[in-house]
Amino acid sequence: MRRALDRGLILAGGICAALAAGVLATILGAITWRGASAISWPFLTEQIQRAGASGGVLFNISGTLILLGAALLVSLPVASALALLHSVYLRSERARQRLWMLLAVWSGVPSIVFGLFGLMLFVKTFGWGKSWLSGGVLLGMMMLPTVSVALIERIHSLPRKYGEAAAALGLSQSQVIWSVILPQCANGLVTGLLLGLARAAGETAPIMFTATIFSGAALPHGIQDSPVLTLPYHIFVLSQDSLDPAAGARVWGAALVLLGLVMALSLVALPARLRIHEEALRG
Amino acid sequence: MDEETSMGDSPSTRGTPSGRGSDSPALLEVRGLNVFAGSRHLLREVNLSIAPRQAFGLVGPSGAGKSTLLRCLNRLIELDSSLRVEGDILLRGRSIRSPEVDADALRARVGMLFQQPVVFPVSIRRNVLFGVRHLRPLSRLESAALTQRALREAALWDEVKDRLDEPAAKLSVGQQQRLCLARALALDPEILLMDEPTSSLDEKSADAVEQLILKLKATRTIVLVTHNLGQARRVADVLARIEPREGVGEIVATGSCAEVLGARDPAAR
Repeated sequence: MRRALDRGLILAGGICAALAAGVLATILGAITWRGASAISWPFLTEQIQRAGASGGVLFNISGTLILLGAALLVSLPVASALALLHSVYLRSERARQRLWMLLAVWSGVPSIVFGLFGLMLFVKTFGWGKSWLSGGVLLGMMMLPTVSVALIERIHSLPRKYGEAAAALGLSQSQVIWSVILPQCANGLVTGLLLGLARAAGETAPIMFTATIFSGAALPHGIQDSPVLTLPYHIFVLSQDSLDPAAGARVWGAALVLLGLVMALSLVALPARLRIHEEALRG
Repeated sequence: MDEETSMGDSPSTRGTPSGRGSDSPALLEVRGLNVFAGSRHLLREVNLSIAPRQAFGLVGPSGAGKSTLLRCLNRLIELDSSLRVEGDILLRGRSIRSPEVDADALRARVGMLFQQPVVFPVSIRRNVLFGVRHLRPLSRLESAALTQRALREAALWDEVKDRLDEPAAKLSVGQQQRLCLARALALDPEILLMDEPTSSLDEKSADAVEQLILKLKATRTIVLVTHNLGQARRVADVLARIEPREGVGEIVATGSCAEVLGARDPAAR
């Protein structure tokens, strides 16, 4: 009976895994199948023409990368500070739990709500206008919990003995942070950043009010009122509004480029993630 | 780092040479020390007097609070916010627990060796300099000289002199423990705290570390926690025995090895 239960569980797990893999493979396959025909050198190196019916997505790629770069610059210091606050500075368990809950709630805020918030605060109140700055900062804020949690978990898995040994050598708390905690937990930070960026790359809702337009922009000329083109918004608009059948294949092409970008980010994070597992096993 | 003001004496004026034994003036004095974890009492009314340039052994069953007591001596115990310490500890007659004493500067002058060697995932050389380069800027020449001096004092130089830039994790556990000792010695501490430093080592490495302790106590004061009574007999000049009474660790005996352990314990190694 127990053995049958074991087998049943393994079978159920196998079926679920196969289903998940199947869905993923179908998505990847469909996008590649339909998008591959649109991908060409001009598609990647030319700017958008005739409302997406011809030309390429060069400035959509650059715009997405600019937003990601800004998001990275915003989230790296703030998320690190939050993680250090949680793992090092806060000494009461209660305060730590509250911060943890804040991060959990934060990561659950729908992206469209972030979009509205950004519209209200950055675009209107701060007067940044629709600009890569508004969108980049907003995406950075959205990434915060992902990055912080990854770093907190890494710090948590760092054996206490390292901090103790460093403190016993007379290192101050900030020296322990800079010389022991951050170097040894850098891979957690990198993992969190890349996972956060991979998700931010595909977000449409937070940037459609704050940072991106469909056409008529190239590289930003300033920081205020300087919107960019982006891949997700390009896909969003084309797939909704375009009646031109020529645009159809190009939507899939843009989707494939975006997918490639996100997968590249995830792949970059892989070695760092593997190292964490190795160290967890070694203890 | 204002160790001058916080600790009083500079290293050059440290302890006048004197014979070993409990009658020389105390370097380190523990007075009425109590440690609590919440409402739990871990150590009760500990009074100790440790003379300079001796190996002071702390023995007792596990869980009696030996390590806890040791961690009070360099205030490492304060890293654990759930523990509360009462009483006083004097180093050369000055309290190390008063608020104006910088705990970091204190720890730089009271070295510590843990049960298991803790090497940082950097090179052997950087491990040796890990503490000292945070204390003061070092020229390349100074670094090299200091690395060599510390590794020689820890009897590791000959084994690693050709591979100082290799990862320290490549060393054997016994070598790692001596590397940790070198790292502490690089700071030129006047007191070395050792928390069962040989318990994770094989017999040969443990012997090497014991020999080092015997050598080091000529120049430094060593407080050694051990559950190995044979080791206590071999290296300690003075012993204190901690035992739990009603669940609370107390010093039950202090004196020479013979006084504390009896004339000869056949069970000892």
